[in-house]
Amino acid sequence: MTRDTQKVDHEVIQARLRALFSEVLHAEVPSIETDLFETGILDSQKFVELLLHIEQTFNTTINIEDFEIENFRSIEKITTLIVQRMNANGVTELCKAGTLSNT
Amino acid sequence: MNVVLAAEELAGVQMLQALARSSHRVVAVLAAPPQPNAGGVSVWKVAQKLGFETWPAELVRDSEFGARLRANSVDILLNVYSLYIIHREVLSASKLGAFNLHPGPLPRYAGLNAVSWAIFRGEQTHGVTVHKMEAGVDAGPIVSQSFFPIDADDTGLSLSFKCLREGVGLMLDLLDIASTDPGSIPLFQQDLAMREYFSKQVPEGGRLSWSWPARKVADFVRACDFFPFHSPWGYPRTRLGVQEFALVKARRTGLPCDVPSGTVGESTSCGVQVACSDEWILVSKLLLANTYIAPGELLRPGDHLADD
Repeated sequence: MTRDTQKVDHEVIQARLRALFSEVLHAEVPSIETDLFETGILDSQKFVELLLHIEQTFNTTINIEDFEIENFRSIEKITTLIVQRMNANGVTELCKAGTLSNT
Repeated sequence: MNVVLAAEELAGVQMLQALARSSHRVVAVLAAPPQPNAGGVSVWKVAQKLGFETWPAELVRDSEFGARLRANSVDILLNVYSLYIIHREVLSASKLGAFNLHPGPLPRYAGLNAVSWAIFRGEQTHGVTVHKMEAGVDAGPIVSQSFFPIDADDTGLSLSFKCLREGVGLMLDLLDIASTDPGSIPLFQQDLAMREYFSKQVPEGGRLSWSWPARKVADFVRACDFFPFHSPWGYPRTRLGVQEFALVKARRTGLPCDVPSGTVGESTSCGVQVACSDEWILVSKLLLANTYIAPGELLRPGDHLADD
């Protein structure tokens, strides 16, 4: 994955996460740096829903070793985690339709 | 291996997902059925979504439920944060027995809310325990434990995440051993002389005292701090005159104070300082009449908080 491609992926993932918060979790997140815990956006119900939808939307698993609260504190940090998981799982392409593929 | 999982809460969902990704066969998931028309997600709903059979969690209290486990050739019953007392006939009904993940270091910290108690008591380390279940709460020989530091800024929520991460890992390790060489599952008897049991009772009646040192006040607040998740203890209460409110977030400043305990000091965008017996603490979030507010909306410099 080139640096440019990864940068694009970051932006696309952030956009999809923002859409996920807005359309699925019904929560508006002001910015990608917004603290999702301090602002009360991610209560326990929404957090579980977020995890389930991340796995569906990005075709990647959140491993139990990733369960560090800091990994989920903002959309920016969740994006970083997803990219790490994608790289670890060999997921290298974002599909236009919204799913990801293994290559 | 044929597994039955009794589970609740976020840890239960994570254990369930880990099982779904494993090679083990999930015979059924025991969980609380959702209330009619209830929204949100739960272990029950996630299990059904994953295609697993779901059984009401309270079945474990019935001795006859053991027959169902035997009929399904269940190898192991796993309990992750499900709080029903399992009938002794059920405990022995699966081939290898029943195993519990407890979010605290046994034999100390048996019972409820171990995470909050550990922070409240100023512990420097915490741990999680997997043990074989015997009659009695958190009783039975220990299979494995994991210990980790409690950081100065850890809250109930962040420490719970650590417990989840370490604990689910230990349960998966148990399954590895159980499926390859069950005879080698470690079983260390608990030293009951070390046992401490914690009930659902909230310390200090849920009220803080400004005559305490700042460390104790801050520890009480962060022990209760699961924000924005549900706090099992609620939040420590105090009052300004007749106005009751609770502290949701507070931390030590290290700044010594020489004013009467409970005096409200400087107010900034970060929060409001309140005097304890030895130093100021910085209060950054309050709960007033079921609404979260910034402390500056209620407290003014020179106010005095009651010390009941």
